[in-house]
Amino acid sequence: MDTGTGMTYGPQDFPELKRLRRPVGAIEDWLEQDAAFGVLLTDGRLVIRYCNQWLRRRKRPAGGDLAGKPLLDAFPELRERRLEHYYRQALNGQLQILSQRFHHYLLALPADPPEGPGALMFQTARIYPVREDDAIAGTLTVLEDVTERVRTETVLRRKTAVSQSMADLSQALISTATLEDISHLVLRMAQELTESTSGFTGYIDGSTGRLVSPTLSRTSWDICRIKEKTVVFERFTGLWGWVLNNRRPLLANDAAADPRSTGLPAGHPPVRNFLSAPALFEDRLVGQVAVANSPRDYTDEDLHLVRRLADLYALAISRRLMENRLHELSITDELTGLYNRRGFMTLAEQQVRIAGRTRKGLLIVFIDLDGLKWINDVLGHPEGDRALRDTADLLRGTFRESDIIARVGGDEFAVLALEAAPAEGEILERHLREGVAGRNAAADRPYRLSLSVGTACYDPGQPAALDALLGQADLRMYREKEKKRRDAAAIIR
Amino acid sequence: MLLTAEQRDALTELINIAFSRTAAALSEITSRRVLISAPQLGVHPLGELQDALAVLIPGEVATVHQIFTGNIAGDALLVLNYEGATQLVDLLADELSPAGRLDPSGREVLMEVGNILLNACLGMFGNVLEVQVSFSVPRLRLEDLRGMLTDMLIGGDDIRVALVVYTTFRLKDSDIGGFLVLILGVSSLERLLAAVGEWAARTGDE
Repeated sequence: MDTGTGMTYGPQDFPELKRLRRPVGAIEDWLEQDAAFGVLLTDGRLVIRYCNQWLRRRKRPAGGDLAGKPLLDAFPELRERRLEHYYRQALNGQLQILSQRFHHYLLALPADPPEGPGALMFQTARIYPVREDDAIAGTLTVLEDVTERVRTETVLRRKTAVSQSMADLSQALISTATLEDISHLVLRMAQELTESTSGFTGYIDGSTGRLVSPTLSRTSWDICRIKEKTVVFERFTGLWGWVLNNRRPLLANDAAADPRSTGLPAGHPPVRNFLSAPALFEDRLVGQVAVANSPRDYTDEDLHLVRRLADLYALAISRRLMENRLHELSITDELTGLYNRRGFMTLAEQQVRIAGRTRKGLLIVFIDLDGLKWINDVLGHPEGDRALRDTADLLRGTFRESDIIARVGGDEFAVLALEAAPAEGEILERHLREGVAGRNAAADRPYRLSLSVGTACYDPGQPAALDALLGQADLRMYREKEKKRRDAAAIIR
Repeated sequence: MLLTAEQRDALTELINIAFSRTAAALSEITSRRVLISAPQLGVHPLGELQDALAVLIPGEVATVHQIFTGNIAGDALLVLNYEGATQLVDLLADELSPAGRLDPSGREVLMEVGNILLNACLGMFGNVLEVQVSFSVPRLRLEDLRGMLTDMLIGGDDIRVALVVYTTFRLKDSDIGGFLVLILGVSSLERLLAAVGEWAARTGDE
């Protein structure tokens, strides 16, 4: 053998090898004293003939020298777990392989080091048929302790699952998935990774400050007698409320005894343990991730994981809320809060199509704020803006919430009144005039509000396009405006 | 070498009996319904087997290999493509292999499954032949199929043929395809076929 030092060794250099007169005996000694696995030999009647020190030391209750004892008496768990048939098959000449994943263990030996009281060693086992003179004379069992390996694999598997979940979630964040879908995805991952049987995710509605949870299951709705699909919480109470109120995560392995708990509502399923983190975006509370009822205690690692999920969830919530806000901005008029022309046309066209299918009437009302130019020029633009907001309030007060009300130009407004008969046009115009009169009676403005109004009806018997209806209403409004001008000129003359 | 229709039917029936025993054993240890079917069976000269299987299982394969000796002797293989092997292990053990790779526990599961299947098939042939067939310790081999078959091509004076059984494991709404391959000398195959023929005649008479 070249040792790399220029010197070559051969067997002659190891005189102790020459002294090895009983090589099999040496192996036997090694198997007995040093082998890092268990060896158990039985005869054809499954009576133990030998088991090595490794196995004898670990046997509980300690059985001393097991030689001569029937295998199934020395290890009654084989019969209890219906594993003795593996020995019968080995005696039939077939090698048996038992993996830990399916069987956990063959012989009940304590784990080393113990993971918890009563924890048993994970084992892989092989049961070989032992042949003598072409007949099967017994069995040889070789047991390997794989507990440490299983623990390592479990950690690795968990880390892989966590990485995969985070990658999936990151992918969802940049996809077109809705906030509802992402809420479900985050909850599923939080439950899987913490082995929790229940939980919820929710986001804070920026306009109301309420917690909106799209993920509470139907069972929860039934139990809590909640009818809506999306559950909304106005008050933040109990452990989950503590998380939102304090903007801090919470881990409670004895939820009922936790001083922050305020008890459960009647009919609520029991909560054994609870883990939750707030979703914070730039220090702003935007949502929450909560899980409960894991069969094991939650750990700091679980807490860290739920916090990471909550961080990603916060990003998703902020992005979706921002998108919604942008969407609203693109179809609403910032000054009055009504729809703008784009919003009106988009929604009104959709409603005209629906009316065509459902054969229901519609009413289009075109409204012009008279004298806006004069107000702007003489009283200033802030007063002009106030006149526009007054008009918007008047329209909101006159029409139903479901009607589509819009500011479609500088001083022009349009309303699409849904499910309205032609006769209602006159009623609505009268209401509008009464509203204007009421507004002017307040006498708190340096001008009198005046509106010119024109209406057009959508008759499902004679469907017309939205543009044509708007044209009709606009023309009627224009005629009214012209009439007002002529009347005013006549008065001046 | 071609099989007659009778030989093919009898062999398929025998293998299906062995497979149903394997499926029962797997269902027992995993507590879930496992079905294994052998829809097709073919015989190829060993030299052609590489090409035949390489088309069907390209890339990495996972093979449980067992040598058997006795009145009939040869090599028994359960061949799955690596992805299929990982999927089978995941479904049976109800856990996900990290990054789609077989960890040591996954390999043990595959060894146990392969051992049960090969034991059932070889045990069945032993019963039919009414002789004891001895099996070696199975080995799990994760390598290119071509390299492994080349090892088997070398050595052995007898002309060797491969009995290929197309195998499908079905569990949890998933089908995982694989192959049971028995590589035998022509004389072993002839003894096997003769014994199978006698078994078919015997069972047909009963």
